[in-house]
Amino acid sequence: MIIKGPFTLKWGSNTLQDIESIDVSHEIDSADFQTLQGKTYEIDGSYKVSAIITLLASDVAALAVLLPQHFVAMGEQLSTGEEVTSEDGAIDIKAAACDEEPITNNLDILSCANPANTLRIVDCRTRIEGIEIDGKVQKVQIKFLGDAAADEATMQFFADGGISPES
Amino acid sequence: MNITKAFVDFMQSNGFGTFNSDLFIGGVPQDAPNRALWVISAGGNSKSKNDAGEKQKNYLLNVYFRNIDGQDVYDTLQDLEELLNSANCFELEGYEVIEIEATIFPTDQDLDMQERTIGMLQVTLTIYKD
Repeated sequence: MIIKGPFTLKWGSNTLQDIESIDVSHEIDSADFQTLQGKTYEIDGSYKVSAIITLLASDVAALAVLLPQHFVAMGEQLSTGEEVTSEDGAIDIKAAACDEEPITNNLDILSCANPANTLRIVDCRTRIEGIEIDGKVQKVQIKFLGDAAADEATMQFFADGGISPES
Repeated sequence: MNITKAFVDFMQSNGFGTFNSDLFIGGVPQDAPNRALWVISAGGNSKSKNDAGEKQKNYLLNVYFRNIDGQDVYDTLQDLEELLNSANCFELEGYEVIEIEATIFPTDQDLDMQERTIGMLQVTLTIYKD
């Protein structure tokens, strides 16, 4: 069965909108070992998964969903001292403090068929990856970094409703 | 079921006419109402072929709509274009659909002999076939 779009992206309980593109990357560290008999074995090491999405709508409300660690609500202060007066709040991109816990959620990419198939990147944190301004539209790239526990999968595939209980 | 009929069924289920009443295939019968839609097969091409033999194919269908009320023609064809180009997940009975897309947007085809405005929209159906 072909898994096809349009795709719905969910990070935790938030459905992400206005995504121009998504690029998922999965890397496995490996090393080659040669025997004296002339054979080469490739031994797998650790797994690393990430996804970069390009957001067409990059207003504060959209970024607040994806970068909660950088969100500053109305009435609070930016790192540079100004007070936020907009109801939408503001995004204040600054490096995390060393004792700050990252905010992680599963990133689910759901296909359109019935039942939908889900590609899950387990326990992702987010960070801003880049900004593209092409003269007409400002696009923001957000990187999701899989941060799964050592004994958990980095990535999962399953039919929507096909696992229980779903987190 | 041929793909044109499958698409006509899709149009009917989305409120764009009733088959053999005001929605037809291949042309419009003499006794059709002034307000009528018809779908004509317009060719296509093979898009890709797997090493295992399955194919992705594009089918082109032209959707025509006529009415005395020209604004209705513009409105209805734009509604159809927006439906087809929305983020919906469409399926056609009997076919594995990769994508349904309006690829030529509503085009005014001028008036017919009875002063009815005729409009046309071209649809590309991308199908996966074993």
